Amino acid sequence: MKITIEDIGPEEEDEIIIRCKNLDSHFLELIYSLKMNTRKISGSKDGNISMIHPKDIYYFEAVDNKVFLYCSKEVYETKMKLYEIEKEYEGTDFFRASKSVILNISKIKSFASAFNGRFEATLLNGEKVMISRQYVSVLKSKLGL
Amino acid sequence: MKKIKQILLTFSFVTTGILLVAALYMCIFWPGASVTVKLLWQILGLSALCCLGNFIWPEGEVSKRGFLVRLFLHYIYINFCVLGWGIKFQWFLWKNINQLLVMCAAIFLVFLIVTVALAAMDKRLEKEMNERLLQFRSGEVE
Repeated sequence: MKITIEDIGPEEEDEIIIRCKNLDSHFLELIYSLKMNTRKISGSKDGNISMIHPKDIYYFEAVDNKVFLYCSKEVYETKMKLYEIEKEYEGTDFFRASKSVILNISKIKSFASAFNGRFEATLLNGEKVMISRQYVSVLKSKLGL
Repeated sequence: MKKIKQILLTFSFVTTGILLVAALYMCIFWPGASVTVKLLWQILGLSALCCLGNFIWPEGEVSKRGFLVRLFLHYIYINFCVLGWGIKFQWFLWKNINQLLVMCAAIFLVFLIVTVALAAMDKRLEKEMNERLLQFRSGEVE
């Protein structure tokens, strides 16, 4: 595979163009990895706006038409809609856990079965998030089951 | 498709349960009876009818209270089906209180076994997912 790096002017935006015959799984992994590593999300807290790295986000939750992103300890509000987040981070470590939650699989410590086919995920920071029965199949495919 | 899979799984569980109960029941109350083709169809028919109870459960999320209410309603539905079917095809005499009590106890037992079996399947999945999660975090699953 040939890799070409071009110098660009200071006013131009950084850009990565992938030229390939087939967009196979290796390229998709590369794209997902780039998305997880480069695209930060803006979040506001107490009137201050911060840029948050996706790898630091534990989960997103929609509450009363507002979307919050939860890090290890901090909670920020984001302007992005849950469906936009789901689309933007499709194929990455994020997956839909319920109608109102998108969860980062790399922040899950363990799973415990709950009633009616639901599962409770204990996160690395000790928080517990419920995974709905209808989204368990998404999680299983993420885990290669 | 998911719902059909779930119904087929319940069908297999319920048919096994009914066969087991029928075998025990016939040993106790009708020791000289022989199994007819009609009875086999009746058992399969009852299993199918019981499976319709799965539609009590919605595709979406259910709260803990909703879950318990639906579980109770599902149990009542199963009782209604089995007792009604039993009376219709004269599996037991409804005036014979002993036969009725044994049938009620059998329904409870089968319902309990099926519920526990489903919970055990979830537990097994929980174990598998935790194992895969460990692999995922160590970079073996991508």
